Amino acid sequence: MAKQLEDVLNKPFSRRDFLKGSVAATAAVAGLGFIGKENSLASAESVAPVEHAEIVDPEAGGEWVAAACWHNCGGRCINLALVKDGVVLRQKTDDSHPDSPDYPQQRACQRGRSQRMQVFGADRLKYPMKRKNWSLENPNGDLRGEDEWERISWDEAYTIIAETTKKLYDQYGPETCFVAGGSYFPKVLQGLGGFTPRWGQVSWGAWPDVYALVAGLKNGHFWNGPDRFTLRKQKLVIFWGCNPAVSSQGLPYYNYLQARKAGAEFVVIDPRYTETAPGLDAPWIPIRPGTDTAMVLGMIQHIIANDLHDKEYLDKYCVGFDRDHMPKADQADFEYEPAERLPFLFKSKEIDPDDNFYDYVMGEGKWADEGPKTPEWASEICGVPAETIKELAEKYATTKPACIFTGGAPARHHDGECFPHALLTLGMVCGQIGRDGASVVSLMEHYGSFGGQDLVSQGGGGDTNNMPANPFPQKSHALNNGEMWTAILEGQRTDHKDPETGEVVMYPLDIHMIHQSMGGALNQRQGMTQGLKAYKKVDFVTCINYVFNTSAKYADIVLPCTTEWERPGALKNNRELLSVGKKITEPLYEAKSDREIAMGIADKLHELYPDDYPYTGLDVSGVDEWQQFLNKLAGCRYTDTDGEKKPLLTITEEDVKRLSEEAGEELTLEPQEGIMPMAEFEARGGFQIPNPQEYEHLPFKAFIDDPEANPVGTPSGKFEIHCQILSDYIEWLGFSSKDPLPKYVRITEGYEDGLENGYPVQFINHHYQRRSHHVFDNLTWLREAFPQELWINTQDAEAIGVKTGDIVLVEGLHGKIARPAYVTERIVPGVICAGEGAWAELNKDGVDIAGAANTMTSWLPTGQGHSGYNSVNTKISKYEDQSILPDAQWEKRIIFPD
Amino acid sequence: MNQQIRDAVELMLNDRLFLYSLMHTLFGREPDEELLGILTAPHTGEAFELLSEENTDMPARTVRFLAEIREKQKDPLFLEQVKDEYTRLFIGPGSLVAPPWESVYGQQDALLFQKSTLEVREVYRHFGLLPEGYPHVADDSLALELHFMALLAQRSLDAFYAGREEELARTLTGSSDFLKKHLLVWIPKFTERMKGAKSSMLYPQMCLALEGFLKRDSEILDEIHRDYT
Repeated sequence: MAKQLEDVLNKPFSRRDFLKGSVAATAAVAGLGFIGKENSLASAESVAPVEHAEIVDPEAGGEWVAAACWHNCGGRCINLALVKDGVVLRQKTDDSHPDSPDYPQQRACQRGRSQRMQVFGADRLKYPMKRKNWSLENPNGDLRGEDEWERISWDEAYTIIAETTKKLYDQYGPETCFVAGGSYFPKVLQGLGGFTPRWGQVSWGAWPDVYALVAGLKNGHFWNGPDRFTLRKQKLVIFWGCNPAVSSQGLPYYNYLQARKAGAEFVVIDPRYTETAPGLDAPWIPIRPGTDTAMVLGMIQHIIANDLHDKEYLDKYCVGFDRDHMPKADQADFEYEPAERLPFLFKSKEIDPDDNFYDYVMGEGKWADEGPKTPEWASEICGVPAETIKELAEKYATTKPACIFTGGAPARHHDGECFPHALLTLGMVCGQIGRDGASVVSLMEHYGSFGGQDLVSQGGGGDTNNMPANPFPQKSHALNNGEMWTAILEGQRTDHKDPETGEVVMYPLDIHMIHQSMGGALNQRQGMTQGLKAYKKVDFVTCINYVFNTSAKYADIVLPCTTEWERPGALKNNRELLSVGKKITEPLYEAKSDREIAMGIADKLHELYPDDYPYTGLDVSGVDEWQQFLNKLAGCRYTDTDGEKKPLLTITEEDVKRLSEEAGEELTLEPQEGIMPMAEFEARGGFQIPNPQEYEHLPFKAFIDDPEANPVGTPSGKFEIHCQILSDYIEWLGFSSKDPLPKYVRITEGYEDGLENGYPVQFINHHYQRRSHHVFDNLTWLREAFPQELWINTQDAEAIGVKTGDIVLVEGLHGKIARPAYVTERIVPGVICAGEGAWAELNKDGVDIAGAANTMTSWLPTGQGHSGYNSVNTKISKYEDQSILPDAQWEKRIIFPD
Repeated sequence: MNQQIRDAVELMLNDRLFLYSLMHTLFGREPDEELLGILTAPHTGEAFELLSEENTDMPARTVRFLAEIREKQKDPLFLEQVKDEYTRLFIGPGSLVAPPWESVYGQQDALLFQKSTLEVREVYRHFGLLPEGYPHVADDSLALELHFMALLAQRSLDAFYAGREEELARTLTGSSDFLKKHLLVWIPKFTERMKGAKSSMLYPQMCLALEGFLKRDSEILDEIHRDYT
């Protein structure tokens, strides 16, 4: 007998007893009963394996399906997945037509091409989970982020959330739940009496209210640049603190390249030599963060001193430039509607002519003691040589048409309003806003290079619900991003400043619950170290996500949701492209859509408290998700060359029937006529305006042509260099003050503070190729390619004895991070930076070894309630622990020590 | 097949049915006292011992380890710690140090629903099986692959007792192929990564025990196939 079986027989126990024991033990195992369906096989129809005579194509049988790329990434692209039996074998991007500059392919970036890794990552949240040591009686909040977890059923999750929320609402009232983000879940809370929302401008820094009130076009700050064909006629383009090569991936950089080829000169002003500069032959003007306003004023002073300013333009289109053109006191009352605040009523008042901009910048009149804001004065502050400032000033004043494009970054500072105000003023002083496409605008994200309003749009889903409105709406009752964590800890928030008394009125709060779905405010809003304290303080924290991001990590109940690839479909657009993504796969494991989850919680509340909660899931949910998708398709519009919006898609009865079959339910829609068959739209992955050159957009053209007939939306009807309403509005918000003029102000935790407080190194953070904000941070492809390095100038690195790859400790006023250095001349001395959005990972000393930017940022609300992400004072040293491994690696332990 | 060989094969088929069933349950659900009771019962030690041979000490190590567990089990905290370990290693919600899916080990990235998922699905279908959670769950998870082996082990044993030689050969070949093409390809990499686990109360050790069992099972199946079927 062969050896193996001989071994089996030669054991020192009785064969008969062993067999008996074996049968009994096997029965005992079977008797243990339930094993989840994710871990059990069931009988199915037997399918004989295909006998392959020769090598076959493993992709045979696969089908290309348009796939959503749904992120807030700065691009809008086409993505398709090769799907076989629910498995995505690979992806591709737009190949629907030959590529050309006028009619380009809409190609995906490294993140879009990694999309399948995000959807099918082994680290997807798969089951509802409860933090082990949490209970309402004893929340053990300090254990958040470190505790063990327990898997629970959906029914248990719904019950815990329903019971806990009800108890907290009964005890502390309907404002006790702070919703940091969410779509359907907040509607459930409306049935309990409401919730406390969140507000505050993030991406565009201080641009929105400044552009709306100084240039008089609400929301124009992000789209009111020249169309991309007019862009090619610009002679000069200045990128002031923006980096479209990275933060507007997709087409923008390609469009800028066409402008370069057509002869436009480019200049980059930035603390970093960005990826944008070299491809456009752009000279780099290095500048200290937060000091840009000084440089702008230096340029203006030089332009005026050399009589290069456009006096006719200033007189005709602007108020506040000089004492003869101040805003009038008898203007009609003006109501301003901010995006996230209640309307603000402005009554014009007498303005002292001494408060004119000319006197301020030239150091005359009441500012004679301060002296003129010369390039030399500016140079001391911003670090740019005076000669460089003068040279650029002359070039900008004399090269027409020219555009200044800026990102949000230079305005994402504390008290950030002066920079956009000053930059707009620079454009006005040179007559470079509104002539031949010239403009000053914060075009970024997917609006970069795509000036003009969108030419395509998706329809509404028709999502109605029967829930009562939130009596604590965002515009009056929300917590500001900069103040929310402090408000939770201290039990009050800023309501407004009383203009009569000058007193800041506070509003009392008693937040005991935090909910987050659709995003991750804890990691992505300023002051995360304060945020963690607030998270640990409250009684109950819930989170819905598809991965274990920072908000999930510090929650008590984590619910797994689906991605867009597991939902009926999604639409996204830039100016010319409307892309569509279809359902690629079934929901993974126990994941549900946000809508289904909200319905489950509402149904549970109704079941447990039928008298107090008369609503059911259907009241919350409105229209079914498949029907919503069909409605969105039906509502797709394109703008024709006459400016009329027309239906895009032809949808037949067969199309409705086909989608109904995909949905497994009856969908309804009246057939309609458009210019593209729905099936073609789906197969191709979208629709693209075929004749984009016929849609010219010249910013402010009507106003420039006839300012009396077409005033801009400011109290004066003109561009406001002296902008009283902006000052009054910000004063009313109560966070800080803003002068009516675009003055240089010393920023809290800016450059000058750092020189005095012992934290002289400025830390800034930028959009990073690895992620779309915090999304994608968990993907190994992207982690390897973009290792979350800390940029540090060579001379700063030498001073602390650090070379590339060494771990640097960054200590700030609010937190600490440690990351490997990238030692380079590409960043200004005295400045360090890292990509925003890494998922915080605190070590035992409280140092964030992932390097999340918001571990460093403050919790200081200023100005219009925007986020001051780039105002951070730090000091740096070589970290004592140099053993931090690259992000994807781990330490091993010996299990069976010898 | 002479009687002595029949006896050895019978022992082996019974043993592997038990061990695959046990392993499927051990990795497929949260632990409880009963499961730990079965794991530490004397027969389980013998079941591993049956696989011992001079070239490997893994069965002996496993037997020693199970004896240790029997002692630790008296501590009421132990079960809680083992539950935590199970959740941390196989459920989440944090990232798993050694994700228990074959697809993770066939490539650089920790992804589910890959080509191996389709290959494994084809094998299941050939034997008239599919995951109960299809198509929401990845077919090539540790627990599902072990369930497949357990179900085939049951079919082999039934065929053996019923004298259905052809079915016995088919299921044993199917088991052997599946081990060679799937489990034995990725389980060694999986157990290697399992060494990075934050705790090692039970599962990291049992992963090593599993790996040892799979290797021996494959050798023995080879021999049965070569010499007796």
